[in-house]
Amino acid sequence: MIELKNIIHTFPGSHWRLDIPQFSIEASKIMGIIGPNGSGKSTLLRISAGILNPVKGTVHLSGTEIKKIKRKEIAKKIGFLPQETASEYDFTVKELVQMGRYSHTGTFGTLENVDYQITKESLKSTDMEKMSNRRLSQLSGGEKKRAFLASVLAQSPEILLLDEPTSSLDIHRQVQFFHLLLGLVKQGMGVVVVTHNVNFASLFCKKLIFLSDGNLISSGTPDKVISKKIINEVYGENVILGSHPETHSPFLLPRLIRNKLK
Amino acid sequence: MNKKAFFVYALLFFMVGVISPWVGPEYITPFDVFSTDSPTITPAQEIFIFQRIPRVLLALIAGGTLALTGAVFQTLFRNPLVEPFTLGISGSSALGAFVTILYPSLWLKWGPFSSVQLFAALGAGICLFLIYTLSNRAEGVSIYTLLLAGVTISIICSGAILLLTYLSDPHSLVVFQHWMMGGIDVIGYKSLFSMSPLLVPAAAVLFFHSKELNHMALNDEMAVGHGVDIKKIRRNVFIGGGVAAASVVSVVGPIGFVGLLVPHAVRYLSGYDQRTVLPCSFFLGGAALALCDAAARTVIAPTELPVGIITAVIGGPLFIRLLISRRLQKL
Repeated sequence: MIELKNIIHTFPGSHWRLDIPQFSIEASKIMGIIGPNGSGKSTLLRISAGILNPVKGTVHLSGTEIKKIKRKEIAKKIGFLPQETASEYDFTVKELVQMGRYSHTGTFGTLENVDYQITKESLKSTDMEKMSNRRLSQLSGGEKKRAFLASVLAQSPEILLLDEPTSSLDIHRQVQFFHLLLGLVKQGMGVVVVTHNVNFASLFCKKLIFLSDGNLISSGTPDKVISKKIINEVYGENVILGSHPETHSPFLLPRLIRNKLK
Repeated sequence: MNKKAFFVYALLFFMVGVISPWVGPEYITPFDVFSTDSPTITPAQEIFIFQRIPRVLLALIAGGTLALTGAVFQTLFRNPLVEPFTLGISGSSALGAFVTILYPSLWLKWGPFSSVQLFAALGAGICLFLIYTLSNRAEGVSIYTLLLAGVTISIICSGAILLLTYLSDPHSLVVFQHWMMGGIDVIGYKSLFSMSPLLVPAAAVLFFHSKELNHMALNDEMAVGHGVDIKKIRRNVFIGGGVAAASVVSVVGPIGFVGLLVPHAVRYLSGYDQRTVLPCSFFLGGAALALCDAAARTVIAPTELPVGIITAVIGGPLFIRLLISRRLQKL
């Protein structure tokens, strides 16, 4: 479990500030962090992963302050997939996924049988098994994203933090990706997804938190968070709030403003 | 790790080490060295044992270290053009050596160590300290500042060398220019011993961090997410690589292209896993410099060429060839 308390973060030379009084991430649940550009979603996720130290406030991982835990120990509990997933070298998918076992290996980084087994399982769960010998340059954007996810899954984390994981995927792959995440949640993993796609978050996440301009506007079930009042406040009149035809979960559609298009 | 590649490169390194001492202006056969009944050491034995072997060993170690440091710096800074030259290590070493050569009062010797090496290593140390201090921020080392600082220090050192060249006497100039052209024409084993106190621990640090260097090729957040303490790795590898390069440059002078080209060749031939790239770069770099030195000994025999000229003549066109090939864009 990750617990954040009284978090305040600012960047040098900027008036923008992230202010989150309380926030926690639990196992076996999927949570979405939504909000417009510049609302602080990625910053909050990076603070939760211990990658960014907040200016004020504390982050605890399983009861211990995250600053006091070694990076290797954090990596055994938290898997973090950043928005940018580039590699300077053209590794094979298998090499990349095996790197995910780093925190579990000893001084010389030698992989044991269990590491090979977990690597194989991570490749299988992301549907990358057949592409394991391909180089990253030979993959499409979506395949590359899945390869990096597989390397994060190979860490065998308890909590998975994903920053815009579906941004480069087509709608079919996005649906597949979220089903994959639901499968991981069923296995007991806690998943947090930062996404611009409010509709996917509404459909697949049990809990949402809505950020705007560094502040937590609302948190709770999708029905509660994606309300007409909040949507109007944050996105203005350009968005229509509807509901999904199958699940009746809140659904956003763009409004065609004829006058402005002329 | 690609064990097959490791053994192939190691075999090449070993074979070059065994064969190249027999190459040189004086024709020496195994019979001249091993099957002699002379009670005293023969001229052939003297040349072989005290000139050829130490020279080949120095070439193997110096070439290997330059390639090794090139490989780690290219990965650490995610830049295919980085090597000890780009970081200012070679320039500052050269300035340190030149100051010593220029002032005879600074010429000192302590066993295998000489003041030229000491000042060259000191120059590299000051350079490392400066660029590390300039680029070290609260959030870690800034790669761009580090590279800019390295290039700036190189330019300042070149300017200082030009000024000192203008002011120096012809004798010092000849000695310095010979050092600048890179040479491994040593006699005896002193140079090898003088390098080892700095080189051995520094190279050990680099090999030890080869697994983390794989992660450093990804972006920082991905590497940290995998559990890598990037601040610590960057600091250790930077200091280890700088010290290793300085210990070699202080003895053999600035020899170009080995540190730049060899890691590219290894990655091209044997993949990108740094646990393979680092040892294989060492083996190939050593073998390449020993072969270049064999050429330097024989091309215009009985006169010898500084090996730096041979590496530049072979390395320059090869690098241009690599640069225009598509492959480099992926490296």
